[in-house]
Amino acid sequence: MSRFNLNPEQIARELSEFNQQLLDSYHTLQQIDEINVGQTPHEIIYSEDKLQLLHYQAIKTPGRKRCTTPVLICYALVNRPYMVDLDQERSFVRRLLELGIDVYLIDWGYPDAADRYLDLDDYINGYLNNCVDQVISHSGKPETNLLGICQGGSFSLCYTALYPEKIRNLVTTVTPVDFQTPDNMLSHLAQQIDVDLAVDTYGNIPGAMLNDAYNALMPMRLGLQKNLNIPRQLKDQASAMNFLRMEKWIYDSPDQAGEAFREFITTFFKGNGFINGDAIIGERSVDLKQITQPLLNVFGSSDHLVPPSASRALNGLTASQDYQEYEVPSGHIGVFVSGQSQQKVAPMIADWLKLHDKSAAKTPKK
Amino acid sequence: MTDSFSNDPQQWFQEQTERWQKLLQGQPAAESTSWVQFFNSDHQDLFKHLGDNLGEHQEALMQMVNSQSSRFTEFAESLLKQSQSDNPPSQDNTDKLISDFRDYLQQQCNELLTQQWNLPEPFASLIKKLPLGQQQQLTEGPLRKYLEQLAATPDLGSMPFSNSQIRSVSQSILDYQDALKDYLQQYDLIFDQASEQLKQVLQQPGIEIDSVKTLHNLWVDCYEKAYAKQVFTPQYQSCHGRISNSLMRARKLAFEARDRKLQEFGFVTRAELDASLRLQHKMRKQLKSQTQQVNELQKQVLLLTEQLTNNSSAKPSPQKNNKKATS
Repeated sequence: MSRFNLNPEQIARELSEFNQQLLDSYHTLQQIDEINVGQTPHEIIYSEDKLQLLHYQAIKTPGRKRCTTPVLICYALVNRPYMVDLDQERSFVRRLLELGIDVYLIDWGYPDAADRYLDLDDYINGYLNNCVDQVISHSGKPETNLLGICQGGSFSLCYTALYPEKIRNLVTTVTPVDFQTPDNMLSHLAQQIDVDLAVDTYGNIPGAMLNDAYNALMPMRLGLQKNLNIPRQLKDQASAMNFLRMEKWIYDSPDQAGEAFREFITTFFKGNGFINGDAIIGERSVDLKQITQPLLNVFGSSDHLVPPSASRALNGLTASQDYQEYEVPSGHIGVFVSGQSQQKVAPMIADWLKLHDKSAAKTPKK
Repeated sequence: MTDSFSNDPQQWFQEQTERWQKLLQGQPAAESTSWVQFFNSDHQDLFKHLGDNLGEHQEALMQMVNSQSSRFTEFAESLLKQSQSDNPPSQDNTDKLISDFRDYLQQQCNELLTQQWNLPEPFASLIKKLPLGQQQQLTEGPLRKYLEQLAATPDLGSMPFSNSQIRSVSQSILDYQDALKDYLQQYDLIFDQASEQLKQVLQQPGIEIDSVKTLHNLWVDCYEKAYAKQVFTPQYQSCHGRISNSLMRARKLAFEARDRKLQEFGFVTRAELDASLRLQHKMRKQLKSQTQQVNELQKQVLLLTEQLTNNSSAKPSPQKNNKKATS
């Protein structure tokens, strides 16, 4: 029995609407001068090589309780950190500031040929450790809260295990912990890739190559379906700017420092270092049982890049007596940019940080 | 809106609308200029400044949108013609419609795969650029035989390229082509499964295709399910690994060939640059570590100095004591 009920008038109408939208989309594009992102005011308090450490001052609201310990956001090396500050309406950072949290954000920059041999030791024991010291020094607090995003969450876990005395509370968001859960498509595909050959061939791994890998997780939805919806997305300037900001972020992919990439894939994707307990950064073993801090683990229920199972594996791996999970009904990026995020995720994290802020008044360690 | 923009594209749209009306009325309609043809023709200057406003990626994205929009229009027009001659459609025509739809999408899929998995130059020039599905030259035929002979050539005499280099390049291209063939077979399977899934979904109560957009959306759901199922098979993962690795090996050989030429002309090769970067990185690490040690030592010196100052100021001065003693 046929289920097609395509009447000619409907098809002609659809053709007309679609092509009119296509035409309108070019009209909209003509009116756009620049695609601005990361507009929340901030100052750069520290620079090292290509890295910059940004500080965002909490907004003082009379009557609203502030968190005395700031939060340092450790973003992934993949893509750019302005995802947490796309625009005023979709700014995870701005929501935290409004809720009385002082925010520091690491911008890793764009590695070039000179950074080809940067390894995880440089990133974690070097850059991240220096940023933590800078935050502590700049804020005048004895410790900092650390919030890691995706790969930055894996870095934050390593860091907190190696330097527990500097971290007050740890928040991991959309963070892969068990890299080999059966539903992890990216990991399944990565297992067959000769990472040594990749680094030997390219030096730094091209960002575009990683984008291809991410798009390959849902090729038809992220390809044809998305593209055919673009004329509708560009129908007016406001909607177009929303769409283009996100597009700009998706394809603003820095190359990956070759050695760090090799080490991350080998240690975590192939070696499942957190689960097997054999991850080594520099010359130090990463023992997650060194983490005794309160720990909040945030993940997206329909995350296709880091499936919930990969994040939830953190439960029981640390020595934290105060472990909490928060499931957001969204995908990987939706955790930070969806309306739900602005309304619920940022407030939930801010409340949790304030609740766990009680011992922040102690004097700095020498 | 600029005048130039409002006139020509609107005129193009008007012509399209008239054409669809003719098709709707079952009248013969002349072939018209597709959107992508219109965009790439001498009207392109209307859109020239878009490149200044948008980044490189957005420009590439809009090229893709143009191409896929034209394909969408083309397919919808074919449906319009078909629905005129077959309303309501028969089961045979339903199967044909699904088959046509699949072909229309698979062609686009193959074009995207061509871009993603294209061999690097100079090897790409060996293979005439055709959509992947039509690229049969290296799976059989004289060129493959020639490459196989080259890959098996024994060392004889002196040549501008060593035999081992020729063997490596030939073998690399053959490996790539074999991997590509197997990889494309995986996509054939995915398209087969997606089509079957679509047919099954269409049997379910409450499902009805009343627009081309609905058909697309339903297809995407079916495709993603079929794709996810196939990707988790060892066969797909093996094919994906082989195509990725063989392409990288070919690229590496191309870089090495370039390096040999650079060396011949006395330029710095990539291998030499890498060695220098490795050394630079090692020195940067050492410098940072030493700077850190110096900072730590400075802190300790400062602390000790403070302690000494505190100690000396806490002790009573001997002169005062003397004075007290004398008084």
